[in-house]
Amino acid sequence: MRVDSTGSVDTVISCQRVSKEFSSKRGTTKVIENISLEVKRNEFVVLFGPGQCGKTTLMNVLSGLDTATSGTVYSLGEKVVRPGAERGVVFQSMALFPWLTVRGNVAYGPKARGFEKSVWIEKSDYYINLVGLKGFEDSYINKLSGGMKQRVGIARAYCNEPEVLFMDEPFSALDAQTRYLMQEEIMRIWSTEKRTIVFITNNIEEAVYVADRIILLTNCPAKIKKEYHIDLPRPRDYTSPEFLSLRDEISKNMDRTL
Amino acid sequence: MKKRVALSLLLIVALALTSAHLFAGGASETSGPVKIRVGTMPNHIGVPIQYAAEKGLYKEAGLDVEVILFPTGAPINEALSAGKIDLAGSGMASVFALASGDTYWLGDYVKTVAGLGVYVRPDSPVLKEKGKFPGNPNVYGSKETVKGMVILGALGTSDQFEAVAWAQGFGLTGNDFQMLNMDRGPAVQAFKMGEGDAIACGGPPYNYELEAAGFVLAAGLTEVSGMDIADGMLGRKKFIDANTEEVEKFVEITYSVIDELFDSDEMLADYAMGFYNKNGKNYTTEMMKGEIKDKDYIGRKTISSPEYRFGSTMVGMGGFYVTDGKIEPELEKNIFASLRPDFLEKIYGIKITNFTN
Amino acid sequence: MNRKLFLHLLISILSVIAFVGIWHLFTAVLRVVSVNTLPDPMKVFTSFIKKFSNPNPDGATLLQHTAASLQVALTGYFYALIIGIPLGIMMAWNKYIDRFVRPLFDLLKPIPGVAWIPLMIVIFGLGIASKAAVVFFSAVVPCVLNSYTGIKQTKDVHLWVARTFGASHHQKLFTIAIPTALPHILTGVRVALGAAWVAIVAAELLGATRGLGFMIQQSRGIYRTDIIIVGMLAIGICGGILTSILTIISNFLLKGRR
Repeated sequence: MRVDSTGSVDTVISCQRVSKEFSSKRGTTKVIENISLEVKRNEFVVLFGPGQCGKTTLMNVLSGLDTATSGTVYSLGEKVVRPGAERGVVFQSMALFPWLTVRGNVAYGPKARGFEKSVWIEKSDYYINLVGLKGFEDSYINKLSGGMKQRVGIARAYCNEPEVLFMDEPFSALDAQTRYLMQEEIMRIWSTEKRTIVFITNNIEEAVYVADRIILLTNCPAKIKKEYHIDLPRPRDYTSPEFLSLRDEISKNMDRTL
Repeated sequence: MKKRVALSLLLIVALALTSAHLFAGGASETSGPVKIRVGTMPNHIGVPIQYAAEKGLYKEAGLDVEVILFPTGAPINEALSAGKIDLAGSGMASVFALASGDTYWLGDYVKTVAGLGVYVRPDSPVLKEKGKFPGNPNVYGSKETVKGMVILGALGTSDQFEAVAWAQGFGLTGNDFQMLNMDRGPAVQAFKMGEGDAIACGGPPYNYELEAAGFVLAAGLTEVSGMDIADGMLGRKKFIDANTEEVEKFVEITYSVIDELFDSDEMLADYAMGFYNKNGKNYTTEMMKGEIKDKDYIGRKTISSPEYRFGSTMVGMGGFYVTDGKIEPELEKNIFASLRPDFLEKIYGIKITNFTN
Repeated sequence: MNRKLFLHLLISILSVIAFVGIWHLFTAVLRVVSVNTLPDPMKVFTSFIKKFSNPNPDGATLLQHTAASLQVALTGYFYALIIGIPLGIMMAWNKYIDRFVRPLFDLLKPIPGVAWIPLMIVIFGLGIASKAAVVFFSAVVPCVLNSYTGIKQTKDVHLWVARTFGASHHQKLFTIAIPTALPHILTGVRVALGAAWVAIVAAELLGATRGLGFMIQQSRGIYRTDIIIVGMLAIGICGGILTSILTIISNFLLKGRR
């Protein structure tokens, strides 16, 4: 059992022999096969794999948005049957609420959970500040750039103070420049406010840059192929020889898809 | 390319089909006898015209007459205004057509003796007041009881005239009560169901229906207006000026029906009942008898008498509506100018000097 | 920019001027049809001004008629809003309510509001109630349909976000679905206003003692085409003003979304 950076050893989220099949008229497709994993408190885990290999499905099952065909998911030792406030999600499409301001979006969780106004103002102020959007509290979402929108998404998930944050390819829609910037930003945010993060990506550099641990998945159906503990010091340098050799090794082991 | 051609063809065909009726109105200019479109109503006013048309009397005289029936005089006015009919046998609504300056009055042919008036329910406060109407002590009502009433009836017809004449007697105007516009049949049904405070009756058969239901005549039209109420014939100036000969023949034949055939009450009753019932009215022999008593057809005898005043109803009504604000004062002269006694003068070979002017 | 605006305004005004000019030419100048069939613009204008103080020939001034029409139309309209919008929302949100209401709604939907007039007169008599009911039936259909469509626009991912924030079913309706539907609901509100205004005029044509439709009907058989056109103008102007007010309100409610 690995001891993470804060010294805590408790498991936040785990699953055992989880499989997921989708049935349609054309038959049954197995998307996830027999996956077991554990995520420790404040660990930054990356689910990494080729194109359409079922990473999002795995995240949905872990977060409770979807149910497994077989196997069980545990969150803080309890069985996961539905989504809950202790499992936050940052969606690929961002899924921000366009009818609300930045403040309205970020404070959505605390408000929904019935916190008093002074509390959710304070919380949202803190997280808006954390993601670097101070001054944009009253802007509507459609006025923001892609990078700013994703910051709102992160702040919104953070503001609900979940035990674990799932991030489903959060930067995939951004241009390369903004993407690098956001990778740095998520590291800065995470080091300021440590959370358990399960991060999905199909970008190898991004995976190596952010992860404590990379779980390499196979092509469909997704199985765990290999795990890598990344012990490079942060902030990491994309061009250091260690970074590049890790990147090459993982690349070699990754299934090729067309 | 083919598609476009097909589409354009389709469009042209559709246009031709849909616009055909728009030009149908002008078809009377084609060869053969001039087509005379006559608007009238399925009641005593329409009887002589319908009779002449049905028996082929117009055709014998070489006229091509088409009779179009309307529920009241108001739509007849609209049809005249739009040029959809050329001549009309109509009632008191005609005064508005005459005031417009676009029509001629050709002659009265049926006079109302009784049956028109405002009816109320037996428990109406109106019936507690009597003798307050100047000039006629038999009329019910007072200024206080009539003011603010809701009276059912057809706007722009004798119904409205009855109600306004009644109100005016008490020093009120047409704006002091509310006239709820309905066609006559529906108005009687609505009044029976409790709508409104009074109903302005459009004459037979509705007066019989109202009396049978126990309603009371509060104000008879002849009593409140002090006028002879006569319905008659009118037409569009343009058409009459262009087809004087045909119009003269039309007037002659219509009056000949009155003079020669309707002299006999039995014959009239027989024909009229058939005509009414064919048009959805349920007339009984009793009702028909009543109507014959209430309505007098005017022919040679009356018109030739020295007491006869040509167009007096229209002129009287015109003055009345000017006072009431329904006709603008500067239009009143159009009514005088519209009177054309010369058709009857020629037909009967008389000189009508005695008309209001 | 200002010059362009001025030009656009000029072009718009030009169409009105051209229309009135042609009207004047064919009536006052050429006298193609009798003044009784179609009065010239000047005559209509003077009648319009006179009608503000002159109750002739129909028993009430223009403002009295307008007030009467507005009172009835707005009564029916507000009932349509407070019943139609919640009904549409409930139908879209709850499939049991949808199943229950839909057959009846589909049956009644194609019946034009005006077709209700005779029945409503028989049931409610000739007062305000029957006309308000006719307005109600005309206005309620667009309210229901647009609210329904609006709620159906709700994105699954937004509902997922709400679920991961621990929002209840009730909260999802009020904080996700209804805000999503708001633009559609407001479209329905605007369409319904138009329908209500059409219906009131039609209802007044058939049985009334006051109102713009009544004024037009009164003027029909008595050769007062000028008053008919005055009535039409008043209907147009009122409809325009009401629509503008609604547009301002909905722009306020939807601010920041575009």
